[in-house]
Amino acid sequence: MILEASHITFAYPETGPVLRGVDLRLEPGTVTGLFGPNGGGKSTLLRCLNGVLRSESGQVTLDGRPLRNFSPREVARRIAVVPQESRADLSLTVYEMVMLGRYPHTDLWGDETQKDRDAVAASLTKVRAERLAQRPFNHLSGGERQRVVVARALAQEAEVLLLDEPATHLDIAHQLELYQLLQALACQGYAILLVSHDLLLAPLFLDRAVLLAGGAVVASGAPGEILSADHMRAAFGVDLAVTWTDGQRMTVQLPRLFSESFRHGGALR
Amino acid sequence: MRSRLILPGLTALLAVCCLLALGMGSVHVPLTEIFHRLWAALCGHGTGDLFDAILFQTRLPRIILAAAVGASLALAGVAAQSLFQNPLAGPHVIGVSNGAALGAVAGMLIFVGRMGGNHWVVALCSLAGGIVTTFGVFILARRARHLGYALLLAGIAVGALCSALTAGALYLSGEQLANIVFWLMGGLWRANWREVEMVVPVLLMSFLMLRLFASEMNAVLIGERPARDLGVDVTRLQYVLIAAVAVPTAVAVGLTGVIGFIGLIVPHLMRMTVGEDHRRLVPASALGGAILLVIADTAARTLAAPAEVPVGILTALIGAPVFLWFLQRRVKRGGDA
Repeated sequence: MILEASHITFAYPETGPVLRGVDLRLEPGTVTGLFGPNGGGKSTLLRCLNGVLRSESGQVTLDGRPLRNFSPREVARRIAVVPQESRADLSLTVYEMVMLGRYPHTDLWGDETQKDRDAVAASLTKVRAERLAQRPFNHLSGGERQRVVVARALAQEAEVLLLDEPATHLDIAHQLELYQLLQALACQGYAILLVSHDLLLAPLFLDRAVLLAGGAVVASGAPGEILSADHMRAAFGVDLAVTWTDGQRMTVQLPRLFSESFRHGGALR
Repeated sequence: MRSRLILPGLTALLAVCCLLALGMGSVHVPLTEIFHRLWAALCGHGTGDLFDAILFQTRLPRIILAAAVGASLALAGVAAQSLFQNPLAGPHVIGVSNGAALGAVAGMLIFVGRMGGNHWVVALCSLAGGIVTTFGVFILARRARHLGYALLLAGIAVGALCSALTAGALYLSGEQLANIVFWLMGGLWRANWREVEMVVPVLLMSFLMLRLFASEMNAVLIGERPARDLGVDVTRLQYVLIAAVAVPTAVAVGLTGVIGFIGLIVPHLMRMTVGEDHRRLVPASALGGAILLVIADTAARTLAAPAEVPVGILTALIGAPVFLWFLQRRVKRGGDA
């Protein structure tokens, strides 16, 4: 299942253009990272990719077929989204929460079948949350909640997984766990897009990375290439470069201004 | 397992309440006599004597009307709480009760004096008032980014305007004042089979709609955006919910006056019993609303017999403290009411 966006543009009536001719291709078995400054169009692009927002020009295709020819439920059977934030105050149990991911597969009356129950159990196992099944969602920790939301997306049994900053509220152990899970899912054939602000840890787990700024793609390619000093300056406007050796050791070059003021013990202004 | 027994349990409880209510009143009818006469009437050889008249022309339509109106109001409450994503919302929130009451009062003042007290005219005026108000609130709120908030605010404002107009109409109503005020307090003493025939189809329609949209109502629990990602047509659901709040409420107000708090409290009580899943919450709320209003109406007609207490006063007397208790619970849990 290949999800492809070609030359898509999008504008909100109040704020003007957000996407200006973006190309993106997600292939099975790969994790693609989408980076860029706040307001650069990342979340808007994600919502265009599952058809919730309709792009003004250009088109999004799923295996060559335009996305607008699919009904919303058909799209949700193929593309699952892990949202940026989830309501934490829901008293649904974890099991019921993950069962909501079966909505695109249910019949008119919304009755659960054995297939739905199996899919929910399998999803909970994948994120190692089986023992949470009967706990109320609002009693979980932030890390547990995020795993359950990922399980809900997996229960959709889609082939494309779009994640909008899923690691923002997670500690480093849970971040690592999430990234490893995404790699494992890619190995099972998922096409994965990870929207992230994490330029340090996330790129280690990616196959490809895309840098989006001002509504346009600044760079795309291997994660090591796109995090160069030039691209960072173009996208974020700061002098910063991240380099790895052997995909394990990492060097971060800080902006000269910052490092000097640290060295002299001066306050940041 | 426990939740599987709740729906049959509530159904049985409703049947028991209805049977007991049939026997209660100024003329006491023993339970065996009720069974005997019900059986005879079902087989088509009722005697048609005074007892039959009391049971089948006075009490039975009133009990069925109470059950149907209670169920309709509770379902309207479920729809309102789903529409606003707030368990403390009720059918009155979008101004439909006030609009329907204004329509009914206007209908009484304009038509009833001339047309010999035709209640159908009042019911239709009330329905029109409720629908026009809801439509107005919807038009005002439609363009906002968050339909829920905008509906809430527009509903409060339009509802207040309708209340003011109703009060003005009452001020000018002269000798009809007592009648209208008594009606506004809510009561089922005018119940007859024709009113039952009007409410029951509306109830069945709204039940069917909400049951069909139960999984979508479940999905929007996680928020509008994630629900759209799951393939839910949120806009269509919101239109369905607006209709499911407005129509049953307007019909109920038109026939029985303003009976408050049922739409607010029953869904909340049922949520504590069967959980958030609307596939169970919808039937449980319908049954719960029916049970509550049958009990309240039986109390209203027997407590101060031979006088009658408007049932709206009773439901508000019970409902307001229960509502405060919910609020306290939410505040203690740290939730935002």
